[in-house]
Amino acid sequence: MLFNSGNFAVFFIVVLLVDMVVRRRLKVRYAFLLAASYFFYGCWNASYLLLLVFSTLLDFTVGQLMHRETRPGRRKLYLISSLCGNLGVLGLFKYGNFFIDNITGAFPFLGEIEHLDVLLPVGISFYTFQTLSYTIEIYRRKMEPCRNIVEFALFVSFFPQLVAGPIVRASHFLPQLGKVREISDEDASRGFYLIARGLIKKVLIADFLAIHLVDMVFAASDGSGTGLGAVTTLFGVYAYAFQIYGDFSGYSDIAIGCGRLLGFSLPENFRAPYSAVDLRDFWRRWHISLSTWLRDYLYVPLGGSRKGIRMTYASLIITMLLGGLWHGAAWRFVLWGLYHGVVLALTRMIQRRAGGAAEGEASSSVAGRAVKMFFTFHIVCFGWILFRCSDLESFWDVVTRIGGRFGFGFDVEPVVLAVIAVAAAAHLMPEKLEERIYSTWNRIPSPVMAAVLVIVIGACSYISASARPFIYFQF
Amino acid sequence: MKSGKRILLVLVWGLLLIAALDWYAASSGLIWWQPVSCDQTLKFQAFLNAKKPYDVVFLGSSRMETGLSPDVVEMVAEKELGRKVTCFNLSQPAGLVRTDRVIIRDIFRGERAPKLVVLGVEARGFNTMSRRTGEYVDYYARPRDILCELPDIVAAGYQSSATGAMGRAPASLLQYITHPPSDKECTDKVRFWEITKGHGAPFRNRVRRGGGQPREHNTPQWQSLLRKRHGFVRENLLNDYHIGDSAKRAFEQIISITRERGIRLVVVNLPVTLDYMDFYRLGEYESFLEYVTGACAAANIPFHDFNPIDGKEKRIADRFFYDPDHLGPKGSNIFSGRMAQEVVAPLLGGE
Repeated sequence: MLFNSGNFAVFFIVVLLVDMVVRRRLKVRYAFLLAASYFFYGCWNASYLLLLVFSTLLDFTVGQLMHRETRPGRRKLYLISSLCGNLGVLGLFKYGNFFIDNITGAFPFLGEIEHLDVLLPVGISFYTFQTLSYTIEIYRRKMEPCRNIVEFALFVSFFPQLVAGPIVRASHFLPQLGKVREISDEDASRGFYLIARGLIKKVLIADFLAIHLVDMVFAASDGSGTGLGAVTTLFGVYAYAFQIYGDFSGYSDIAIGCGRLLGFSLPENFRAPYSAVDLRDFWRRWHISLSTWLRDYLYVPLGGSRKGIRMTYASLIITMLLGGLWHGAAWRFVLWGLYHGVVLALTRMIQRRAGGAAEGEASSSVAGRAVKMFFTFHIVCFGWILFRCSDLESFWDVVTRIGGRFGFGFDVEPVVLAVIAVAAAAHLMPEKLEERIYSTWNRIPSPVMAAVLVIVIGACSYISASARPFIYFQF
Repeated sequence: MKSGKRILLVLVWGLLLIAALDWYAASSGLIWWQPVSCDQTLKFQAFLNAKKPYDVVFLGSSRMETGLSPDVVEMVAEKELGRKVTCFNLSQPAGLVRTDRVIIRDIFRGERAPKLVVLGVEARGFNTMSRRTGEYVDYYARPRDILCELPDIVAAGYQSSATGAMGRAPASLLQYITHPPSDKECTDKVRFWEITKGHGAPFRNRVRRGGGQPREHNTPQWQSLLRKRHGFVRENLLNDYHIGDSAKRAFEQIISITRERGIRLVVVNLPVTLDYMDFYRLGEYESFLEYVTGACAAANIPFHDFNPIDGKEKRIADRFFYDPDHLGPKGSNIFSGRMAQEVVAPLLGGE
C-alpha cells in the first residue's frame, strides 16, 4: 500500500475517522492504531509481520530486564542479545544472499552455495534501527522502559513511518503516548500541507524526472540506449539528485503529515539538503534521522572526535561505510558510503587546516556560499552516480559520457528543465518564505484547502497513471 | 467534536468536490481514456511513425480491426482510382464511440490528420449502460478514479525491460503521444503494427490451433458458441440498452472535430451475422440505427450500411464470419474490397 496510491487514501481516511471516535479512550485508540499499522504492513506481506512482532517482543523484554538489572555485565549481555537478535534478522534477510554471493565469488572452490529463499522485508532497516535506539537508550540509562506492550508495539510499527522513516527515537515517540492530545486546526493544516507537499515532491517532481530523463540516462548505461551527450547525461544526474530527494523527502513529508493528523509529532528528516555548503552540512540536512542515529550510536561510540584526529577520520569513514551498507546489500552502496566517509574526512582535514572554518559558513559572502553550494552539490551528485548505477561498468559509462565520450550534446525537454529548476529553486527558497506560504495555507477556509488538495491529487493522478514505489522502500 | 473538526471539514469538502467534478466530467464528456492494452497503444506509435500522413484511416472496434485489411483496400482502391492510396487501421478492440472521439481528438492533429476517416459504428458502442464499457473507458477517465488503482492490464502496459520494472502507463493519449515507450519489446511491436498497417489479428492464437477460419454453421459447435456469445453480449454489452448523452456528445464531437480540421468523415455500420442480430431485443438495434442515420443526415455526413436488415444480397454472408460478430480471413477480404469500392474510392475519387 503505497502513500501515493488510492488504496492508502481510503485506508488513511478510515483510520482518521475511527481515530477521531476513539481518541479519548487511549487503550482502545492505541490498540486500534496498532491493528491498523499491522494491517498496513500485512498488506505487503503478512508472514513478515512475525519479524516485526519478534523485534517488538525482544526489545520490550530486553528493555524491562535491563532496567531492573544493576550488574553492568548482565546489562551488557542484554544489550548484546538485543543487538544480535535485531541485527541477526537484518543480516539474514537483507544481507544473507549478498554474503553468499561474495563468499562464492571469493572462494570458488566452495562450489555453489544455495541462495536463501527470502524477500527483503519492507522497512526492516528502519524499524530495526528504531528499536535498537530504545534498548541502547535504556542501556545508557537515558530513558525508562515502556511499561505497556501495546504502546511499545505502536512505537515500533506506527504505520506512517514504518516502512521508510523517519527513524523515530523511542525518547521522541513514547512520551507522546499516555495522554489525550487534541488535534488542533493548526495540526490539521500542517498535516494536510505536508501531505500535499510530499505528493508534489514525489509525483510531480521525483516520478516526473524519473520517467522523463533519469531512467533514460541511466538505462543508456545498461547498453540499451544510444550514446547520450555529456550535458544531457549531466542533467540526468542532476535530475536523479532531485528525484531521490523528492522521492524520499516526499515520503517523509507524507509520513510526518499523516502522523500530525493523527496527533503525533515525527522528527524532521530533510532541510533543503542541496543548499548545504559542505558535505558535513549536507549530512545535517539529508536523512537527518539516520545521520543523527549513526552519529549517536556509531560515530560517537567509535570514538568520534575525542580520540585524536586520525581516529576521528577513521570513525567518520567507518560510520559512513556502514551507513552506505545500511542502504542496501550491494557493493555500490558500500562504495557510496566509503566515498562520503572519505570526502567527509577530507573536508574535516581541510577545514581544520584552514583554521576551524567548519562552522564559518555564516560568515561567507553570498557569492562564497553559492560557490560552496555548487561545489558541494556536485560532490553529492558524483556520489549519486555510484548510488544509482547497478555496477561499476555502468558507473564508468556515465562518468565517461559526462566527460564527453559521445560529444557534448544537450537534448533535454524544456519541461524537464523547468521541473529541475523548480526543485532547485525550492532549495534556495528562504525559510521565511516557506513559512509565509504555510501561514497563508493555515488561514484559508476548509473548502479551499480541500479544493487545493483535490487539485494536487488530480495533478498527481494525471502525471502518474500508476503508483511508482518509493526508492527508499528497498532499504 | 472540536478536536479534528478541520480534518473532517476538509475531508467532507474534498469528497464532495471529487463527486461534483466526477459528475461534471461524466456529463460534459471531459474524459481521458487509457487504452485497454499496451499492444493497442503501440499501434498509435506505428501510426505516428509514418513519414507521410495516411490518406484513409479506419476507426472502430475489434470488428473493424480484424475485419478490415488496409492492404486489400489499398490494392482495390488503386485499381479503382488509378493512383496509390495509403490506409491505416487504427481500430481498437473494445472501441466505443467515446474512445474513437479521444483518438480523433488526440491523434489526428496537425500533419497527422488523414484525408478521410472511416468510422465503423455498432449498436453496443453507443450503449452507455454497458457493464464492459466502464472497464474500457474509465481508466483514470474521471476524477473519482484518482481513488482507484489502475487495473493490472494497464499498469503492466509499459513495463520496460530496458529501464527496469517501471510499471507505469501514461494517463492519457496526450501524455502517451509525448512520451511513447522506446524499449526493444515495444519497438518490435510497433514494427509489427507498421507492417500490418494496424490490421489486427486478435484471434491469431486460435488460428494456430486450427481456428480463425469460418465455422461451419448450424453445427453443435456453432450453436454452443452462439449460446456463450449471446450470454456475454446480453449481460455485458447490450444490457439495459440506452444511448446516453455521453455517447451522443462523443459522436457530435467526432463530427465537429473532423469538420474543424478539414478531415472527411464517413460512418459505416459494421457487419454482423444474422445470428447476432437475434441477440438484440425489440427496438434496440432500431434505436441505434435511427440515431446514427439521423445524426449523420443532420450533419450531412455520408452513412454506409454494411449490415442492412432488408437486403440479403448486400449482406456479407454468415459463412464468412469467424464468430457471430467478427469476420474470418475470407470475410475480411470481401469486406475490405467492398469498403474500397463502395466507400473509399467514391469519396476520394472526386479529388
